[in-house]
Amino acid sequence: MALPSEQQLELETQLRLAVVACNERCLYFAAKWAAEMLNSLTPPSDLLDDGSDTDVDDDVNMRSKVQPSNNDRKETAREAKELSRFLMAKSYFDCREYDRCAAVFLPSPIPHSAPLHSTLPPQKGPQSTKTSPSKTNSLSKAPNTQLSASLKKMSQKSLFLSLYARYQAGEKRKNEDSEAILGPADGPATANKEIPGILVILEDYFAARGGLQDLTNSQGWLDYLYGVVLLKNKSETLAKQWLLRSVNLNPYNWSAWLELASLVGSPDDLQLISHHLPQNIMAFFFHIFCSQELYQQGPDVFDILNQMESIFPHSAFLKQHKALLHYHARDHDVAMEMFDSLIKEHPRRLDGLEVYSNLLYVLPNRPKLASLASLASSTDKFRPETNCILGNYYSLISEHEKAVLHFRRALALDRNYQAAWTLMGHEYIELKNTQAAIESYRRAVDTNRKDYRAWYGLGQGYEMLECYSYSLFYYQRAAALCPGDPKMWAAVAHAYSKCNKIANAIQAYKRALVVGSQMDAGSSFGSGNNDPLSQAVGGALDPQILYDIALLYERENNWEEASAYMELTLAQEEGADEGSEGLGVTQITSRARLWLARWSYSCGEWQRTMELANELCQDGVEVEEAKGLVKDVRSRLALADVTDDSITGPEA
Amino acid sequence: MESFLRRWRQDALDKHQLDSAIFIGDKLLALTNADEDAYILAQTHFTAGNYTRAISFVSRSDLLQRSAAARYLSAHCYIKQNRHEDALGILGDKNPVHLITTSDSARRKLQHMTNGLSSKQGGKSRGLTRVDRVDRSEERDREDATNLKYEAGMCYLRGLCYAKQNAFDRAKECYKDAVRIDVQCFEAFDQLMKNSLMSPGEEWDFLDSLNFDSIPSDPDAPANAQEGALFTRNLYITRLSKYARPEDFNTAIETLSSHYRLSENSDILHAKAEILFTSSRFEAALILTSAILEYDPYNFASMPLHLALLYQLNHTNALFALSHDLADTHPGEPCTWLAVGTYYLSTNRIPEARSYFSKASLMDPHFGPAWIGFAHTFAAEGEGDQAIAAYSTAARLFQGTHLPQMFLGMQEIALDNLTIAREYLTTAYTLSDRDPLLVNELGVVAYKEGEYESAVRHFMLALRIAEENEAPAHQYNSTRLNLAHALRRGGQFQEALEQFDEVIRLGMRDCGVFTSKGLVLLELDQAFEATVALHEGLAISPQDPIASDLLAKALSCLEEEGVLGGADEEAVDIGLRNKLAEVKRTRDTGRRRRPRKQVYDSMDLDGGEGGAGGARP
Repeated sequence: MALPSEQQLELETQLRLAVVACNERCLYFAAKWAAEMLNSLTPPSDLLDDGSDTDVDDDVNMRSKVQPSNNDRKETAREAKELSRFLMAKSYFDCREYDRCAAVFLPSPIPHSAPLHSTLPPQKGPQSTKTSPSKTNSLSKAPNTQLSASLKKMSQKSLFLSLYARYQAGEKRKNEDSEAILGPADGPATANKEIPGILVILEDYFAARGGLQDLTNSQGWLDYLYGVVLLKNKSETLAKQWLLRSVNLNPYNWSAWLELASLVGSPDDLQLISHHLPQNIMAFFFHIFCSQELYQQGPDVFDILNQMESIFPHSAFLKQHKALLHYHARDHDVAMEMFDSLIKEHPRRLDGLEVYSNLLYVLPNRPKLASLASLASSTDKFRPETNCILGNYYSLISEHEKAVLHFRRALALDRNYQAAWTLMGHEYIELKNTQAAIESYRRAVDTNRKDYRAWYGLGQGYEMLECYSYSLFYYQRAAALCPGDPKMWAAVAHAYSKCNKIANAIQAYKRALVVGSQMDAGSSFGSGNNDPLSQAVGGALDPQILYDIALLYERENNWEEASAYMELTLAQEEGADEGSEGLGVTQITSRARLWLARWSYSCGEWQRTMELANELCQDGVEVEEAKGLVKDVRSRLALADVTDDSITGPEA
Repeated sequence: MESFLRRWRQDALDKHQLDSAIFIGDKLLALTNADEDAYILAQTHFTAGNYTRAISFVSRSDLLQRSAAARYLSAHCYIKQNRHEDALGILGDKNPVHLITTSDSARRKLQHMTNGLSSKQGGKSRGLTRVDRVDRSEERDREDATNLKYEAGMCYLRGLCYAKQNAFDRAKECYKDAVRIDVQCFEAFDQLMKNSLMSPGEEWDFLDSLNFDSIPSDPDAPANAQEGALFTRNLYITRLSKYARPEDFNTAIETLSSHYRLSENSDILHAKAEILFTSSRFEAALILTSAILEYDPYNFASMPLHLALLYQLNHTNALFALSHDLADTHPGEPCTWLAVGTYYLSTNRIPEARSYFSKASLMDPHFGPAWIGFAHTFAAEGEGDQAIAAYSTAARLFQGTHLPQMFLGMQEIALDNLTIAREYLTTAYTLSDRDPLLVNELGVVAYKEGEYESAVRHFMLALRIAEENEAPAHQYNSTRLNLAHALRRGGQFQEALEQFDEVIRLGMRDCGVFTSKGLVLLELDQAFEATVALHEGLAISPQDPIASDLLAKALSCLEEEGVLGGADEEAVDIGLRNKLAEVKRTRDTGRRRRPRKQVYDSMDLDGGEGGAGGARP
């Protein structure tokens, strides 16, 4: 254990509290996360032993120690007063009766439609009128102030639960209204209709409590909800502020961190935001999570990760993220090992396994993917992760329709499941359904704008539709997210050239070159780097890019530069240094050679032309063309100076 | 015998046993042949609905000449029979203006009255009241108090006749005189308010001119002489238009609810609901109207407001249930068919809605909501001319309210007749200057005329009024959007951007908003942000042509931008150049041939099949 036992105990207490608090507020996911973390502090076997030893008294002690930490007396008193109603509301929520749950604390008035007692015999009339005054009594006292008064009296816990239930009810209805995946009603046009109402209540609530700046007497839960709702309304800067406030007030709500993470769009953003974070263990988790999402794999991330692992030695979450980081760094073997051991330790845990299936797809490792798929579907067929794995499997065996079916099923289970959107986009590209692919990718970037593959896919889709300025934009976004991948830059450059922005295209290509050589020079853990591209470059530069640059210069009639880059392309055949291995002759270098041969020819450098053309003939590429050139040069030379032996010499 | 018969008659009347009352009354009249008995018999016939017989009884023995009550009754009978000319013949066309008491005198009267009290000259006979005595108007002094009431009543009836003849100005004057003569002539006051014959300002002036002190105080508690006057005044205040002087309003309601336990009363609740409605707090207003109708399910005074609220809040189901219930129970009530029409309007079935609105307005040609609804159906279908005709009728019928004028203005805006629109809206503005919606429309006219600064001022004013009304901000989101547009057109891009952001924060998820935001960002040379905003817009409505055009523009701006802003490129260029030089050097040293390696073509970007898999790392 890296922490002294005091801190360890403190952490345990905090996490325990967090689990209870999240469960009370029906934030199941956050509760699960905190509980996992809590249990990863000590090995599970220890826990089992402890479980038999510790008697009930210990637990009670812990509880009583925990209780007073809720320093807001008023709040506790309110909670106690509302307890029975709260329990009812919570039960409704657990039964997924969201509207009923919300109505426990925030009754929504039903407008008068038809008199209820109209069918009753007339003598009942007075009776009903007698009851109604008591009803109107509570209603008529200036309803607005009445509502806000009841809000004031309500504990934050109850208010959170009821508003959250309203939000969930809206989400549920939104899902139902959206109908088929990628159908006409699917997408941002169908919105959660409860959001304006929630927004108004929360706005009033916070306005009455001094707004954003006043941190006193807020527990951070409502702030989280407000952030979420603002986020749904696309007010991102404001949402960020409120979520930051929430994580500062209540750091053990992992859901709030996740929402905050969705607002971090770049490493710079992460840098900026980290100044406002609370200095505790959760901030480290956040950092790890964001770095993983942003494809950052610097040594600092691994440092933090290792530190965390020393505190939480059995955390599946940390292990998963470590594996993901290795995967992003193209350490495929290491990543695979880690995933394998993860599955061994937690065979019923499906979180994050869809990424593993991506890895197995890329490798490709069909048997492993198949066993993963069967494992997942035996655990739970109706989890989005399972369906993603199945989709990947079918895609690998080229059954793209089936793959799409499974991705659709994953999305039906969770419309915000970004991985499935991206993968479905890939499948539609395979099926040559560009429109659907674009739509899928678009939904993917809507749910998570940090996925460069989706951006890249969008670029591809639009490139297929010959909308080059669109594809340029998307490639740029992809490149911004993943600046270490030369492919992104090459794509950007290609799009630029299609848009006739040659200078920019050349710049982008150069960028790709630099990135390519850097990547090759070795990333943080470049040992097991088995990317075919990096080997092909052979310590130098990508000939294709060099060749493309040269062609662009040619288009600009900058013959000097063009020929220089052609030379550079050609030079890739050999190693950068004396004795190191180069590329050898490839199609590209041969094309460059042919180009150079023609160039020398037009410059009248007969000898060099002959040299290059002969080399072409030797390599057996473009022989016809080369031979033509040779003949031409010969005849010219013969005309000019027949006696020159130095040229014919090598030919013999 | 007479007293026995009188008691019997009274008993029968109390029980609404009209036949026996007529029978006994007839006998009584035969016995006494008194004016009074003839009048009561006529009245009984009136209650029984035998209007012609009633007229014949009052016309006997020139009772008409002698008794104001008889004149009143017979005129009333004619009106009931829709014989307005005859009614006017009896009523004459002159209002007895000399009977009017004014509040100017009221002030002086106060001293008078205290004197009167001390000297104990209090009225002894025939209910003659103190106030009558202290009134400075000599003619008024001479008039009998009950007669005064009948005179006021006749003014009211005169007003009714004029209104039927569509002479609204004269009707208005008659009603006003009726109230002036007898402040307690609520029917006339009700007509004035219900038909919005006066503008809000006029209403207040009128109210201030009324002499509430002429109300007789409770004889049991003479100490509270003022109480009755104040009470009535407060009650009347609750009926005035809600657009002017909200403070006075609230104090009136406050007094009525706290001192008299009237807080539960449906009229007070209705007044409160109306205030909430004018300030766009619909949910709260709906709670109140629901409470009213809970207590009194067929309170037709509150029904139109309730329907409007249900429509505003999209409670289609409640509208459906309510209109079915009303159609079952009250098929003869125009409000029922208003409900049905509103239901169809809210479900967007315009032709049905129109036919029901017209049914309601045929049943009661002075039923304002039905006319407005009728006009709305034309507006909803974009039939500007017919809508204008219908709104004009409404405007003629309800001169005091700015709403028809405003709707007319809106229609003319839609037809791009800006000058006419401005005229209508200005007229509306003179009627009511506190409606944010109207100010908003004025802003729209200014915007369309290209006067962006003035438009901005109007929109800001509208938002300020809405804020003062404590209206929920999202109700005035469209005004804010207009403001943002006006700022944009006025070249204040930064401010416009702020407003657009606010609009989006308040939950308007519309392609147009995002498109405009994108446009502003383009103007601010933030092509990247513009592209993001336009994407948001296109996500909502993928086929939007403007957004697509702008996106293409924004993207072409982005094309111009370099990859890294140049700084890094230099270094890259130098590095490459060095490499190049190196290559050139090595080229001369001769070429080492290597065995051919397999061909890589790893950068095949155009290829679909390589790309998709490759994009998956």
